[in-house]
Amino acid sequence: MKMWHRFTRLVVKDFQQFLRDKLLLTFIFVGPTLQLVMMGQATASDIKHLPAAIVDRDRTRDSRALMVTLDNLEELDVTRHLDSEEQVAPLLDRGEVSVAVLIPQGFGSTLASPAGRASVQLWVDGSNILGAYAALGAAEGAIATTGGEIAAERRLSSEAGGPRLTSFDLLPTARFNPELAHSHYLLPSQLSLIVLIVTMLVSSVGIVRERETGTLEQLMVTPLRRIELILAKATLPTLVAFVDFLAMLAITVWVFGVPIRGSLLLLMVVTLLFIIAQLTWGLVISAVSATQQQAVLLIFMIGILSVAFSGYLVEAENMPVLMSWISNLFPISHYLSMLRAIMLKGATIGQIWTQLLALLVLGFASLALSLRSFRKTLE
Amino acid sequence: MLRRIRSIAAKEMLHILRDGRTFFMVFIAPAFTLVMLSYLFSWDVERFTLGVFDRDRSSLSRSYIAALTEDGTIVLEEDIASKDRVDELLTTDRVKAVLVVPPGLMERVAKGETGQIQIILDGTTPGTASQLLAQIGGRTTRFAASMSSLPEETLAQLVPIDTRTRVWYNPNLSALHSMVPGLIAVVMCMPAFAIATSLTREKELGTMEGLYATPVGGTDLLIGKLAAYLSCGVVAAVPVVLVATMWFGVPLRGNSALFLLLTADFMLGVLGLSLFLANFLSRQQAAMVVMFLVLFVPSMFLSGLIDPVDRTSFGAQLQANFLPTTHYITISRGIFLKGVGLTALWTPTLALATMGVAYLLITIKLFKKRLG
Repeated sequence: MKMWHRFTRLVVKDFQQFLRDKLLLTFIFVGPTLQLVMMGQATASDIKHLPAAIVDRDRTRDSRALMVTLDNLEELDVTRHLDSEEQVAPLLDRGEVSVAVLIPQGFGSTLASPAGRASVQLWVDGSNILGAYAALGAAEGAIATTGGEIAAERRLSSEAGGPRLTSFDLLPTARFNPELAHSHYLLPSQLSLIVLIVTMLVSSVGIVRERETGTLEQLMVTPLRRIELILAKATLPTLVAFVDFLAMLAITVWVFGVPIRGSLLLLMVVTLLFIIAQLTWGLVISAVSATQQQAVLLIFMIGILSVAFSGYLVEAENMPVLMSWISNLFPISHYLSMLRAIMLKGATIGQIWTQLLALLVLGFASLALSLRSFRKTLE
Repeated sequence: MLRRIRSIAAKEMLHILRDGRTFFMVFIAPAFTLVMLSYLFSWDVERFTLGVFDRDRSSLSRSYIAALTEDGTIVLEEDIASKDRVDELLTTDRVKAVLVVPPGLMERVAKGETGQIQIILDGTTPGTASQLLAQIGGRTTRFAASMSSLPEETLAQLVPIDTRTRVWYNPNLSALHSMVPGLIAVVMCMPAFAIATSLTREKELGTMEGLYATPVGGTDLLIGKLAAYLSCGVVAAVPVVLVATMWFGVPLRGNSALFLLLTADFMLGVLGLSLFLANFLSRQQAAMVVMFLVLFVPSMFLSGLIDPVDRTSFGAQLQANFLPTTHYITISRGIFLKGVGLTALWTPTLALATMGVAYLLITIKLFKKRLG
């Protein structure tokens, strides 16, 4: 009973101290929200209204029809009508247009003949790759559709249907994310990174501050046992990280419409496990850093490393072998793949148990390590 | 006055070189972060896993699947026997897509009808999904073309418009080549972090009051600091450029001296913004937090680094144009990939210079008031 009392006193003290630190509070709650919202905004909508130039050297009904088709695409706006090819390069150089379509002279008359083939040139600025993909896909698709319509007309006018090309129609469907929204991929990544940073920041700063101000030594002479001290120090970061997780999850789900297809309970359990596994890293950081500044710098580095190895953007399987092997040592890579599986794919515990096991093993291993390093620094 | 500025700049320089943390922030962190972020933001996929649910099991379907997987980019992970297995494989991440060949494909194609093939992609990784679809699409077209040996004239009749696509500046559409020059702009914000902490540290430690007692005025102090960090920032750009060109193999098609010159221009803009913000703050940690939220995060998402900035949205345009990073991304991609010179880049150059001078003047004005 007495032990319980000592324990709660320390936890309450930690909470009071945490709530007084307005700066840390801002960083932990406002920062991630801002980041998540900006990221969601930047990636949730498709790329639209890319500026396009048209060099129409044909000036017939057909060339104008093609131009209107291109202008009507959501992805492209025809902003420049040019007379010659030479005018295109400076515009692409300055980034004033992302794509240029060159319609050659005789385009209309070639199409009017029963077996003529006209060629259209498409120049795309590849310096921004997502813009380039969007412009390419849209323009090539629209030109191919126009071509298909003309081919159909020709077939109708020729007798006996004419010859046919062997062709396959690919019918793609995207499972779990039919619109292929990038936000469904990026927001869970960001969510996991926020949980990681907040957990490590709160857990290590709490202890390092005690050391900086010399109160850690005072804590040692209290009747608190070491394990109680560690447990008490772990309570605040766990709760804060979990609350932050729930808040960010709410934004992800309600503002940006990322679904939770699996069990919410399983998601929370997995998150709690991840927080505990990552918390021990925070303890190790606090054991090796003398000042808060050092701790923050270390967390920053670990944050970047975790992001690089976690499959935040590049999936682990696409990394070089050595890197993908190292990535298994980071709790976040297992957590992120479970987070995606539960939220987007509706995976059950039976389908993610290997990652769950890996997370548990990593958690225990780093717990043992942190207990050792923590004992050393206390003594 | 010039002498006072010079002595402040010399003092700052000494500080940057001596203080480990500042040295790290200015000289090491940009190159190091560039390496990490570049791995993070490149999504060139070289190997895809595919499951095949072949319900036709004809010679046609077999040769089609062989054509898809022959060069090793697409790897046949499992020959699926039942429908339930499809979802299982996608859910457990064993495959990135499942190809479903319907029964009777060969008969349809033999009759001259269009064969329909279903592809179920894993939508949770949209980038990989669209790349994989493009890969399968290209291979399918080539496979279809290899089957029908029609004379050129008939082919022209059936495909009346032929599109000749040319991708400028980045012919292979390599994500790495597109992202690294963009990310340079993000990592070169780090010296701006350092100058913000440096100004607030003077306040925190009380050395600012010591400076008030000297003939050094606010103008001298701010310009001196700016000069020191500006020159260090330009020096720090050298390892960054080396990492980009030697480590990642990004072509530097333009003039490298011009790049360093315009880096100085960017430094003016971003350091001006940083001094302006730091002027309102009195704690180092607060400066870090504000810089992170106002400069670093928006630089990643609002600057046109990933998606091009929407031309038609006034809000997005406004946010992007106020960020020094946006202009520097244009400059960096321009010099690295496009190989252009000042004639194509004068707008962002002018924008950065204006921004820097304006922020500096405002800060000097506000700073004087605080002194008095």
